[in-house]
Amino acid sequence: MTRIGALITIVLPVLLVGLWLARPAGVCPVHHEGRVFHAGEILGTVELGQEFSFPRAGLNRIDVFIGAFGGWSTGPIELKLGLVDPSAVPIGPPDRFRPGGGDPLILGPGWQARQIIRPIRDNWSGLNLLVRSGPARGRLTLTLTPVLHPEGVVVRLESRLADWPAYGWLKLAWPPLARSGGRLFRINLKYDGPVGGSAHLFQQPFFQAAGPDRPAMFSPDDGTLAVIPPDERASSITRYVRSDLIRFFPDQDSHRRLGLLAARPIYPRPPETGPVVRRARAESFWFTDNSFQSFRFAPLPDSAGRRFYFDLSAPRAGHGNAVTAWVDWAPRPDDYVTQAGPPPAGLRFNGAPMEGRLTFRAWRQATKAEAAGLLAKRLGRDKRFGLGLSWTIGIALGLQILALGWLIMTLTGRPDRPGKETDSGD
Amino acid sequence: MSMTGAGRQWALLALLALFAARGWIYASVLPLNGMPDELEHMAQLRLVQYQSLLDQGQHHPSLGVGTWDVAADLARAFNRATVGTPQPERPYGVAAGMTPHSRRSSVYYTALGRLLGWIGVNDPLTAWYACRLVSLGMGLAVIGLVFSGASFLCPPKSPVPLLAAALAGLIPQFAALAASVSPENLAALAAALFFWWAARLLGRGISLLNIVGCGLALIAAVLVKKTALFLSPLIIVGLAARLKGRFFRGRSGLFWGGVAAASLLGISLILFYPPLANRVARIIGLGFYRTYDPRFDWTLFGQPGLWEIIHDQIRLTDPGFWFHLKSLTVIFLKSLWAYFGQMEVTPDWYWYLPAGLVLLAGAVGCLRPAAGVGDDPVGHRATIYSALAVGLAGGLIFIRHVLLFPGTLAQGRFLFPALVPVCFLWARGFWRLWPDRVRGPVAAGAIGVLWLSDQVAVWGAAVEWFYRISP
Repeated sequence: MTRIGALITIVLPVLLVGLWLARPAGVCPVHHEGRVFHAGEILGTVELGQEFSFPRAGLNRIDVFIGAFGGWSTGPIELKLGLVDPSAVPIGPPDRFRPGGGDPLILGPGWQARQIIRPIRDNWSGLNLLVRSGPARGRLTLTLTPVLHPEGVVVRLESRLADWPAYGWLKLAWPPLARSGGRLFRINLKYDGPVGGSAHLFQQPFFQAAGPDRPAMFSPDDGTLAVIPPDERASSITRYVRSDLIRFFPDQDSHRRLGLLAARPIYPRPPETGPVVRRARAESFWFTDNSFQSFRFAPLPDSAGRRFYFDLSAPRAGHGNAVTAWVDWAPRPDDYVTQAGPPPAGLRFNGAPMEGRLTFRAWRQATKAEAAGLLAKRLGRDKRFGLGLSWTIGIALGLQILALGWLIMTLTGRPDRPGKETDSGD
Repeated sequence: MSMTGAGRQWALLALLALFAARGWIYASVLPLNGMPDELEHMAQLRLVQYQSLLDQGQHHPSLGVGTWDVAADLARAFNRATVGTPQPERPYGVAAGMTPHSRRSSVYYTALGRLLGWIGVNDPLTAWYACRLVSLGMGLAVIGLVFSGASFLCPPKSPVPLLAAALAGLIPQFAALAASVSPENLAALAAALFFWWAARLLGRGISLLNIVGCGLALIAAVLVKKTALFLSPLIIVGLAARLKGRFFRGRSGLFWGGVAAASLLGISLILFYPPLANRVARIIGLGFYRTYDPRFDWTLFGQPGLWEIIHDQIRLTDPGFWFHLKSLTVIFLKSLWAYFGQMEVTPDWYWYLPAGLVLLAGAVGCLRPAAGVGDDPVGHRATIYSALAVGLAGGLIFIRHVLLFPGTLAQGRFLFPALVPVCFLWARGFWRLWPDRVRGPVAAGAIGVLWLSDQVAVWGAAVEWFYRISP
């Protein structure tokens, strides 16, 4: 065996042991791997988070299931971890889950988009509308009219396309509507602009939850999006029924395709849920698309039995450079077939509760011995023929090292002396 | 460097031991249903195991007499054994793929199901792990066939066969698949056997034994998995290459014009004449569409023809088409190396780089101009045929998933039936890339890098995902 062969044979296991020692050990007592859809891009002022209870001491890492839309992202993603103040008064029921990003909804000059919306809370004070700006100019006019209590138009405002972001959430704000919670409102958006111009809005992606077993999801509260051509009376509404995602399940009933505006109601930001106890940051360049990404911080020695919240934000992210997080979301039990277990909960959007739950894991610090012992116990459960037992795995690891060493010795064997028959393999 | 015969044999044994040890660890670490559709395959196996009882209406002591009873027995054991590990979405508590279909058949299901029935393995978990170990044996056999097949194509003391077998033995996805219940294992073995015979024919020349062996191996491979039909053009090309001297020499331009016209006519009929397109597609497309869901078999062929399908799915001016192609390619390459679970368990992207560089080096080496082809005509011909085989296999995968099943994923494991030519190509290219005096150490280093990547995949990705422990 040559010196190089010996070196490689020794270095490899040492590298492996070094990698193992360099990684801190951990155990994950809080884990939610279900995922239905992503929550839209995390960029600008968007804060997406989750509340959870942690049963043990030593909370030191949170993994969130991140998506990068098949592309590459750069820039930091920040996580802030806080304690939920148990004396804080809940601000109300969770708002409906509204994912971001979906099919485009393009309005030409004179076109209108109309939808019913039911805000979940009082003091509704605006709408975040997902938009994209372009070369076109003109203005978008929003009017808001209560449905069941016809007071006429209660909000009317205009937004110039020149002021729109290249891509992102356009904030349309108005004075808070005091008694808005639970009432139905009709939103009307009309674009007026030059011939050939258009306003680019978006629909929410309409999706089937985890396969054809679960029924199509549509909201009885937020009514179907309607698109009205110019010069048509409101009484003859054209129904806009397109969703690319329906094509994935071709056996579904096509009449149930619906559309919803990609719009999120704005409520007064609730008071901070509790004091921030840790902050973490991760560079999105190192993220792998559609997998858990880790945010690590110093362990919390008193985390046992306490309730936490965390929020993710990416203030420097922009369109094409942002990541998203996956969410588990279940239909409301009173609307649809009951699912096994309580519906996922605890999702936060800009500090306010929203239906659903982030796909995440929360870890605690553990010693190598504890982690190895727990792993050995879990590996050995319910196996057969000696599989999963610590000693058979130990033998298998040892055999690998020996076999690998033999292979390396063989490949780095001394070259033949000149004059002997040689073969280069060509 | 060169290796003695005894040295190669010991090295092969070491490699087989290495693969067996890795497979043991994968079989231990991967929970039940830890690789794609494993539960579905096991449900089918159990149905075959008890089919004779069901046919006779007999009542098994712990089961009923219905298909559902077989599935329910497996479901109970599966649910109990997988408590605490992440599993795909389970609406109403029933795992996807649980109910077997009696119409769905495969040589793998039949062979293992009947073996279980003959031995009398009633406990579902014992049956499951037994099948995993049998599948691991198939994987070991593939490693041996890679080595032996490459030996026919290389000079006697060349290390290239060892290198080729080492690559096959160190791909994490291959070991993980071999350590799970999947008909892909038998398909990989059957195709490897075909390539072994093809290598023997190429290396030792045409003989009745080699031709018959090749033919029987091809038939066996197609019986095991119909997508092995992609191997058939290799036979045609090989025969044409061998016969060109005798049959085609001296033919006139008129002859070749006729051949070209006939080929063009055949292709045009297949693309534009629907009745023929459907018939041809049903014959050659059985490998594409053989699935238990009849929707995929026949509905597609109710459309006007293959031309319309191409027109619908190949949209060169649509950015969405290119994005889809890019996504398919990325997933294909990732899942060729390490992508466990139901395509959700993956090492971080930067852990693919070392192995990717090693594999790229082999590909670059293949592209080097052949120096002195006359010195190694067998190796040169083998390289061309291997490249053709890999191209056919890869082309079939992408045609299927881009053109015919656009909603499905092109997975790297679909390339494992072509493991013999893939590994031979890489090994030969890698070996030729480096100067003679550093080849050995560089190859040893490459083996080490591949092994390290595998360890990261197991202990970093798989263990952390499935057991929620970072050891």
